[in-house]
Parts: sequence; C-alpha cells; structure tokens
Amino acid sequence: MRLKSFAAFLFIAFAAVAFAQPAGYPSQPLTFIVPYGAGGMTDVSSRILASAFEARLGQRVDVVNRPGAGGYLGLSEGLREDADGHTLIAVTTDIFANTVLLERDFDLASVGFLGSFMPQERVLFSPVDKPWTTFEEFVEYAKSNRVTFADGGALWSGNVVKAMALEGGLDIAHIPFESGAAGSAALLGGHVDIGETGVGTAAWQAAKEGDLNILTILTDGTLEPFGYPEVENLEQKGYSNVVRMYYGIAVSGDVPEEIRSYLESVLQEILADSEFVASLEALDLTPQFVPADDYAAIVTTVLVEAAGLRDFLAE
Amino acid sequence: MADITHALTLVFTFENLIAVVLGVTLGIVLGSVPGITADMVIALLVPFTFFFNPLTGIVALMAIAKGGTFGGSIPAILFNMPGTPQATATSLDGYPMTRKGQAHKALEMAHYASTTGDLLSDTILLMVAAPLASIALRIGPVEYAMVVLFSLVIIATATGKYPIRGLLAIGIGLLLGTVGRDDFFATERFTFGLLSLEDGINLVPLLLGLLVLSEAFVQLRQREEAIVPRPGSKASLESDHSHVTLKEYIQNLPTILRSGLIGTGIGALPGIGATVGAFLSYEVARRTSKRGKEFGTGVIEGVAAPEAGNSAVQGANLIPLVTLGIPGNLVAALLLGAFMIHGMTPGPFLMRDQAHLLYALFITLILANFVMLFIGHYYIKLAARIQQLPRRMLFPLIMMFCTIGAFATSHSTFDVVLMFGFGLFGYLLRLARISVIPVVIAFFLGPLLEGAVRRSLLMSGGDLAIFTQKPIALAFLLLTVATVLVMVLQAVRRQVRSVRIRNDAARRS
Repeated sequence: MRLKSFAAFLFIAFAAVAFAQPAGYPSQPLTFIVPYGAGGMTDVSSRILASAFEARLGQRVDVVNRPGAGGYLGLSEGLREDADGHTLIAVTTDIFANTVLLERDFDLASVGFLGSFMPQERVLFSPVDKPWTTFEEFVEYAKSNRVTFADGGALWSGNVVKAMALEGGLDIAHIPFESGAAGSAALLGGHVDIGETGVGTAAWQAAKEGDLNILTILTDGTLEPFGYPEVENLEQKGYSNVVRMYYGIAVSGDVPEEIRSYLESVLQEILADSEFVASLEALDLTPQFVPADDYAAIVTTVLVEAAGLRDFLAE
Repeated sequence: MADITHALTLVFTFENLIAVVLGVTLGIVLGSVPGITADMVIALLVPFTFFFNPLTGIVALMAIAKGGTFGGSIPAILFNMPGTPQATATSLDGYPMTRKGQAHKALEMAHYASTTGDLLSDTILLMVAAPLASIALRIGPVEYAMVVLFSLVIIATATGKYPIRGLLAIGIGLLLGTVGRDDFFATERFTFGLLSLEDGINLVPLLLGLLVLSEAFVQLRQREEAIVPRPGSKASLESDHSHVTLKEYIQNLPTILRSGLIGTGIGALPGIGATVGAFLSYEVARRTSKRGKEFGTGVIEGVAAPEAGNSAVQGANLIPLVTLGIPGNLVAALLLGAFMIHGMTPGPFLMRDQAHLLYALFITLILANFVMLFIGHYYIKLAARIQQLPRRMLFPLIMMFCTIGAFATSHSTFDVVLMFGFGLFGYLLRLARISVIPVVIAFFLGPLLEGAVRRSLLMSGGDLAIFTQKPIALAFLLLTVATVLVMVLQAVRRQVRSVRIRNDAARRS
C-alpha cells in the first residue's frame, strides 16, 4: 500500500516537473520556421500545430516559410537563432536524410528535439491503364521494359526508388518534378508510369477514387488504417532500402533543457487533444506523438540509412 | 441545382460580403504600391483567415488577388513602375498614354479590361471547371515545354527595333534563371557557395530592382520640371478628363475577350503565371491589330489586352487547384493550405462532396468583380493626387516599400541587397538602351523551359522526336516555327527595302 502511494507520489511529482512552465517563458511571440513552401503538407500541418501551441503558450506563434536547399535553409537558419526557446523549427526526417544525401555540413548534436507529431506513409502510385495492376506485375514488366518514375521532389524517396531499381534489375527512368503536386499531375495525366507522393495528397485522393493504382509503400509501415491492409511495404517485398517519414519539431540544441522539455510536454498534450487529432485526421493524416529521445533515435537511424543509400547508389 | 441555391445562401452573408469588399480594397490599394505585391499580402494574411469560416477566408484571399492584379497597373501606367509583376506589360502602352495626357483613360480601360477578363475566366470556371481540368491534365512535360517555348519566342520576337539588344536581354535573363541548384542533379550553378542562392534568385528582388528601382533611377536623373506635370498642363491628371467611352469599350471588346481566353488557357496550366498571360495577350493583340505598329506609343488596345489577360489568369489558376488539388501558383498554394486547415482537401472529392461550397466560391468571385468595378472607380480618382507628388518625395517612399517587399517575401536581407544590385544593373542596361522587360520574362520562362525539356528527354530516353509525337506539343512547335519564320521574313523584307532605298538614293545623287 505504502509502495503504491509512494509510487503515486513520485509519479505526480515527476509529472509536475515535466509540465512545469519555466518562469518567464515564453516572454515574446514565437517564430515557427517551416523549411518548405506554403501550401505543402509540412506547412499545413505546422500551421495547425502553431495555433494549438498558441492556445497553450499564451503567446503568438508566427509561422514563417523558409524553403530551400531541401529544407536545409530553414533548418540551419532556425539553429542559428538565439537559443532562448522562442524559435521552433518544423522538421521532417526527409530534411535530415537530405543533409547526408547532399553532403552538407551538419551535426545532429546541434539539434534539440521536441518530438515527432506525425508519421506519414509514402505511396508508390501508378495510372490505371498500364499493363500491370500489382507491384509484382510491375516489377516483371520493368525488368525488360523501360518505365518512367515521377519523383515528387522528395529526394530520399526518389533515391530509395533508384536503389530499388538497382537491386531488382529494373529499368526505371527517374524524372524529378518540383513538388508532390506536379508529380501527382504527371501521374493523373498518364505522362509517367509510376510516381511517389505521401498519403493525403491529390494523388492519394485520386487513388481512393480508383483513378490511380497503389503498388506499394516506400516506408516500413502499413496502409491498414486507411482501409488498404493488403498493400505490402517495400521491406516486405524484399528490398533493403526504405523511407522513414516523420514530421516533428526541433529547436536549437543550445536551448535550456528546462524549456525544451516543457515544450515537449506541450506537444504531447496537444497530440492528446481529440479535437486537434480530428482536424488532422480529416485530411487523412495520422497524428501520433513520439517523444524527443525516440525521435532523436529515429533521426540517427535515418542518417545512417541515408549514408548507406548514398554509398550504395554511388557504386 | 440544389447545390446552386444552397451556394447562394452561403454567398450573401454579411461576413462574406464584408470580406469581399475589404479584400478587393486591400488588394487594389496595396497592389498599387510598387514594392508590395498581392502575393505578399496574401501570404501575410493567411493566418488571419483562420478566424473566419472557410468560404469567407478563402474569398478574402481571392479578393485580394483580384484587387492586386488591377492595382498593380496603376503605378505601371502613371510612373512606368509596375506595382505587381503582372502589370509589367500594361506599362508598355499605359505610360506613353500618361505622357500624352490620357492617364485617366488608360486607368479606366485597365480597370474595365481587368474586370471583364476576370469575369470571363470566373464564368468559365463556374461552368466548365471539371472538363477544363481534365484537358489541362493532358499537358504533360512535353506539351508544356512547347507551350513555354512558344511563349518565349512570341515575347522574344517583340523586341522592337533593336533585335540584337533584345536577344542580349533574353540571354541575360536566361543566364540569371540558371542560378541555383539544378532540379535534376542538385548541381550548384553560379551560387558562389551562398546558401541564399541555392534556390536561385528570387523573383521579387529581381523584379523590383530591374523594373521599379531602375525606373526610379532613370526618372530621378531627368529634370524634375519635365516629369511632374504642372497642374493644368496636358499631362496632369487634374486636367485630364479623358474617359473611355462605351463605343471605345465595345471596339476593344474583341481584344479583351480574346485576351481573356488566352489568360484562361494560360491560367489552367500550372506555373506559367499572370505575367506571361499579360505579355502573350499584348503580343497577340499587337500582331492582329490594325494599329499594331503603333503599340508602344500609347494605344489603348495595348492597355486593354494585358490587363484582361492577367486578370483572366487569376480565376483560371483555381481550376487545377479545385478539381485536382494541384496549385498552379503561389496564391493557389496558399489557398490549398487554407482549404486544408479548414479540413477540406481540394481534389476530385471536393467537387463531389462540397459542390455547394465551390459554387459559392465561384459566385463570390464573380461578385467580387462588380465590387472591384465600384471601388476601382473611386480609387482611380485618388491615384490622381499621388501623381501630383513631386518625384523627390514619391520615389524614396517607393524605394522604402520596395525594400520592405524584398525583405518580406523570404525574411532575407540578402534579397534586399540583391534588389539594389539589380536596380543598379537595370539602370546600366537602360543606359545601354537594352530593355529590361525581356530580361525578366526570360528569367522565369527559362527555368520552366529547361525543366520541361529535360523531363521530356528523360521520358523519351533522349529522343528529341518526342516533341513531334504528341499532338498538342507538335501544334505548339509548329506555331513556334511559324512565328520565327514570319519574324525572319519580316526582317529580310525590311533589309531588302532599306537596301533598295539606299540604292535609290545613291542612284539619284
């Protein structure tokens, strides 16, 4: 009995510490840097998140788009700001993978994480009027015929498909497009044979309507929550490179731990709020909290995998 | 049908109507300040629209876009400084009209043409959005490449009397367009190791520098008495009672409608934009008009065409967004974000599930045009006062707004420095009698062309023949070839004529 109440006391004490708002913080409006252009998935989800933060922090959270250099521009700018906890950075595992793929100067230790708020599946689509409907049929066809692949601007996903082609002996011509939207247009117009974008995009919507076929997903996840339990992911198909897409929030690594952990707890709170979750689920997105340490571990894995991918493709 | 009646109830709410009026006003006013573009305003105001219901929020943003497109023509006409990039073509005949004392007429025509072009594309949007979108889908990289090539050639061949200088300008523009990491292999081009240049030179600082600042420098160098119209003088707006008569409007209606159609077509294709729409309309009008040779000296058709063209693009840009969820320009991208934040994903589903909302949006857009007619009428009168400010007071103000504008787009002081650099560069170009406008056009058409051509060649495995294999692409390719042939023939004919004149003169002497 006493052990239980002691445990309960410890738990409450710990929780109280975790949720305690540091004195005097926040003292001014926050800046939320989105290293992507306006209207994209990162931008939209960040804006929704920003208003949730505003409500809880009692200060304005200004979303600022700083697109460029595969996300590196916004990330490095955010890390250069004063480490007083008033600058948040929207990050994706894609940005981190890009630092490796584009061989940039980057040190993971310079980043402090709040956590991840949303994983996302990356889907390989195909127009319906092609000589294949399943992934296996596609692979068979691509072994002896040249096919075109629309890359919707996500460097990592594109490279994973390139690796898939190398591994499987497939003749895939890689066609980069500036954005997921442009790639979707190419798919829907039948100008390419396969294409990749995330769940929740225009292509995804079309697939739900039956205007596009889903071949596989490039992550190691599943489409079961969306009603496609039968779609296997790339790992299950036997390929060794996958994409891991997690949207998260970061701050400079120099931000005091007190502030960082407070922000982490706020993020966790937001993701426990059913209204917030519903607003993202309405867009076919899947909000889910991943604590900072776990997210950091995922990012570390991402960096390693991206390096492996880069080396594999370089041969 | 029930959808439409439902839509009407959504349209005529107090909130909505206020949003339209405020949006149009804000757009016109801020668009008429060189340095502040409608895109900037919209980007800044997107968060505020979250407080409204989805329809009102989106309507407000669209109203600003509409207002801004017309507003930008005001300084273009009065000072030869476009307030928004898409008003650049308007200054070609608009400013000469001001110098002839017809500023008021030019402003009115810009106003009427804008509204009509907008109305045309909004009506088309309302009636045939879905089928038009599926046609637009057929435009893949191959077709797109040929459309852009055609646009580039058409605008390029309009370089006037000094073709070599025009080609030089285009070359400079193309070169500037290559700066940045290339889309395909991420190779750095002309970035000099600067992170800020990795995504290329931003359009806003380049535009503001080359078009607005350089113009300011050019005008400041001239004697002030010659520029500021004395009250009562021919060029002063006070004594300018020139109006657009109904007869004139009707005479120009074919041009306006044709430009509106061109703009709608361009707008349905993502990425090309209102500025190109304006120039294409201007060029086509110039080539088909009886007064074609007079374009550039202050012909009212030369104001009507680009203004109708650029406004029509705005409405049509919604087509790919609303039917496929694919944004064609920045405003559409921001709208996409706004839609999603309100829980709606634009795409095939939206037309099906929320038809009433979309109809409400389209109807409100049409309504906004009439609001613009009303507000624009009074704002033009206000613009008269501004023209009376001496240049030495006005231009520092304009430069201040340009600086704010250059910074605001990407929170970058680098862009401000870049803008002043381009201002200087533009001034030097003008001293050399090289027009800066082809530089700007080539700057943003170049990367579009390169991307589309490279994608096409990747698709075909390096085979150039792909451009002749797709019907739509082939059509535009032939149009391009025809245009070039006509230009060459005209040049040859001119040369032959001038040789003959010289020979005649030599024989006589």
